[in-house]
Amino acid sequence: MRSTPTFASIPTIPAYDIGEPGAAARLEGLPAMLFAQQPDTAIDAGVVGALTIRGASVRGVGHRYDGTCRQDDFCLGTAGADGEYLVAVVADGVSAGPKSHIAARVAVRLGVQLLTEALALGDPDTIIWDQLVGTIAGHVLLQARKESGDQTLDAGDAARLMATTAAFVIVPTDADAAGERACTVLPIGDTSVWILRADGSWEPITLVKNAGEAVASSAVFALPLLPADTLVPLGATLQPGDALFVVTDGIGDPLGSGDGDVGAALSRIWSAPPNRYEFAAQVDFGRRSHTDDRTVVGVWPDQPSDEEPLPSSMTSATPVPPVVDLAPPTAPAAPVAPTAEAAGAADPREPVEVVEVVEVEVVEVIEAGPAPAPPAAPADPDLGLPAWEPLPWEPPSWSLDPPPRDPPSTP
Amino acid sequence: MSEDGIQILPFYLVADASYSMSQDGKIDTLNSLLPQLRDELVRNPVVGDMVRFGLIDFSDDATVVLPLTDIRSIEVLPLLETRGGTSFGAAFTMLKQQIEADYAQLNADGFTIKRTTVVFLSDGAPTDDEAEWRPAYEALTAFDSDTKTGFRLFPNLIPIGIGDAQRDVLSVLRHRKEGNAAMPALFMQDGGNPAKAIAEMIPLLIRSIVNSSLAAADGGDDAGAAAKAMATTLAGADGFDVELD
Repeated sequence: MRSTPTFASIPTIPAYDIGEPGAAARLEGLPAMLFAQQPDTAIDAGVVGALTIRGASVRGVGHRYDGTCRQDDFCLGTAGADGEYLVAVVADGVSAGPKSHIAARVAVRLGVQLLTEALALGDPDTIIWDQLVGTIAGHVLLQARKESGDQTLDAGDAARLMATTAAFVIVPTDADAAGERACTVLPIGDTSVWILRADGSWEPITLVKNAGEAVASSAVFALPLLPADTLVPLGATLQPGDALFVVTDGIGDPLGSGDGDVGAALSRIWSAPPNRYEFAAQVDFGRRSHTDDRTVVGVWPDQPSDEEPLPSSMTSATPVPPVVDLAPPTAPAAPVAPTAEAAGAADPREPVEVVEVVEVEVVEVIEAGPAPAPPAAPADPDLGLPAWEPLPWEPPSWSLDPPPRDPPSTP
Repeated sequence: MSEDGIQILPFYLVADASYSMSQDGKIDTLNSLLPQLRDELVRNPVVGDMVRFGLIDFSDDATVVLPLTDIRSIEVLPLLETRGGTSFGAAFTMLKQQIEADYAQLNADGFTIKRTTVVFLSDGAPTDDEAEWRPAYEALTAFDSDTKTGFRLFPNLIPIGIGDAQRDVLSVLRHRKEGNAAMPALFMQDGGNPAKAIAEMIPLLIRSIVNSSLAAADGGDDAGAAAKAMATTLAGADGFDVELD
């Protein structure tokens, strides 16, 4: 006789909120692929050597609502003579450019390919980043010329049609003798890289946007424009128990400095790799006014299990509600019975009234940066690197966003 | 402090409520702005979740008709009523006070506040002396980003002149005039009907708020995107001369 299923046997992927979701959080608009052949959500997950990977790129509710496509993208690869590196590239197409999703696609796919080629020849410290990034900028420019049909576009013109940030990350698949991994990070623009330390704290590897500025300048570098200065990669060391995250500003902005409600919530749910679908739902968390596209590539080294966890609804001792509010972090169970005083304490969900004078800061996205990126000369695509074979998805000149070509049939 | 809070995009309409506004149905037409804006913000939750709107009127004095608020939650919207003169100085002083108070409150509540955009609508010349309104305007708008002196919460200010408004005076009020965040000034063309001009300006104003918010909602990945969206939308005003350079 069949028994009635209990909640624990029904897999559920809840919707997630961090605090107030706002009226827009669960909006459903037109499918993303009506606007460009770029789905609303892309997920990748798996294990590379001793690294567990979760990647998700989700369309922001702003784009879902106004009927535009996801402009974020990401790509992964392995590199090195013995596949000893994971490479990840995450890109955020600049929304002012109507074709920026194509720039982001070029950046992540060509970025992984160029990193793979470079790491076949030498260690991460042998990479000539100006050349690598310049090559990508050159291809973004070529793509813009192809899209516009105007072969005379310079990088500044092209950036108005399509432009993208990018963050490049190289993570050794195996730890060194000390159990550490020396990672290499290169950010272009405001796509950021974070380490979630074993103690649950977020440590930014790249600069935190607006930090310490009364009025933030957001002169965001975006390819095909190139920064004037020589590109110097950042180093980051993963200690045992740490995890690394590459995120676009759809996550980076609400994460802030990592010490608020969003940081606490994400630290808690990403202390270990979640189920892949749950991860994508978490990246898509509802939070009022935070409506940008979001992409996260999470890398967890040395996880005890290489079996993907079930959705937490199947392992939780209590029913998982349809919508999980992740904020504020649940307080640890009180060791003693609550006193009358504690029972009268303010609900932690209520905004705490701050009585002392708070240092005034205005975050401004509308301020021009003091030194906008000079429209650098477009990089020569041929810089001595092996020629980049056109990717299978590259559009023919007549189409804005065509279907991928069929794989060539083998005679 | 962390900047992971809910983002607020503040807008103020600072409206002339001098006696002349009661003529030819100007104030009645302007009073249809709030209900129309509320409908749009309800219809467009992405924008509605970010926008806070406030209304200040000014005559011999200035009053806060509607403090900065999510107007979707207000059932009965207030109406502007006309009274005596046209004191620009009172308007600027009240606006500055209000921006400071809003900021203190929203910041304490953990919100992330973007720069305030102000639409300053007048149908006549100021009745206070320039010696009075000019220092009040300077106190509202002057900020030196190098030395960090002045009013760092300064708003972007868009003057709109209708009827007998003095272009040369309103033009001075435009802030900021340069850079990516340059704001326009709008002047009703000569011979226009003031009430009709207001009626035509209202949907444009609402659209500019929507476009500006959508640009900000995209994460501000383009410097000046929100301000530029506001300015370029308003620059398309029919029946108005637009000053934007």
